[in-house]
Amino acid sequence: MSAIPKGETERNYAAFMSQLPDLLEKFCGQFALMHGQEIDGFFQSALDAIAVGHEKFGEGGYSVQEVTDEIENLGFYSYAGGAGQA
Amino acid sequence: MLVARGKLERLQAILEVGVQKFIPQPTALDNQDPSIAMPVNTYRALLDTGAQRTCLTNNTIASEGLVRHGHKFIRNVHDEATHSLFMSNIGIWSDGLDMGQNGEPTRSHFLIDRPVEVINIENNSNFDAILGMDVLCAFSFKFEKGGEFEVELN
Repeated sequence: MSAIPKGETERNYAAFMSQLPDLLEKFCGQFALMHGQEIDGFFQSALDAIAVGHEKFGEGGYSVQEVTDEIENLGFYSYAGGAGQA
Repeated sequence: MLVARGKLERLQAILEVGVQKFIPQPTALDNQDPSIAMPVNTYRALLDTGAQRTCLTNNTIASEGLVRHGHKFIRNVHDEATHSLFMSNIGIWSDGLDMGQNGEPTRSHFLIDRPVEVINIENNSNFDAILGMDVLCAFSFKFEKGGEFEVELN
């Protein structure tokens, strides 16, 4: 696959996943705004979190993760798609 | 009424869509500030009612300069992997009922009224995007026996 630069979002994702089991009880369905591997706040939509993150930390300086443990179905891609995403 | 028309290709419903980078508006933006016109590039999108979310190939994401804002764990029949999340503006190219000066249907870009959070997928030779039910649920569809189909946009 093409190279997509890694950094802030990957570090935040690792930190988020380690906290997810605890977050599910109180914040399930909300969107966590993350910066520097810490949660900056919770929002009702990804768009709300992105707007705040963009203003506070600038493009690429934050990430947004939904507090959920549900697996999504990607339809055609789920059945015929390939591997090796990142 | 705006409609997007297509014909099945190898039993796949493909439409032309436009993709643009989503840029959050500063909250302090003055309404006197000049607007910026951005070109809309055209991509081939597979209509997939089995997909819960819209996807863009890695090439499409790179071409539009989309910036990742998160990750999502996805499982398919082959394996499981962590994908990236991007916010983008997506529109559908349509043929309106109004006729242009030369009698041809006018072509317009029907922009979906909210940004769409998309997932990256591998590049492939058939399409550049998958329109999932997060987008498709806003429209009405009509499929004909001959393979033609229409999407009513408004």
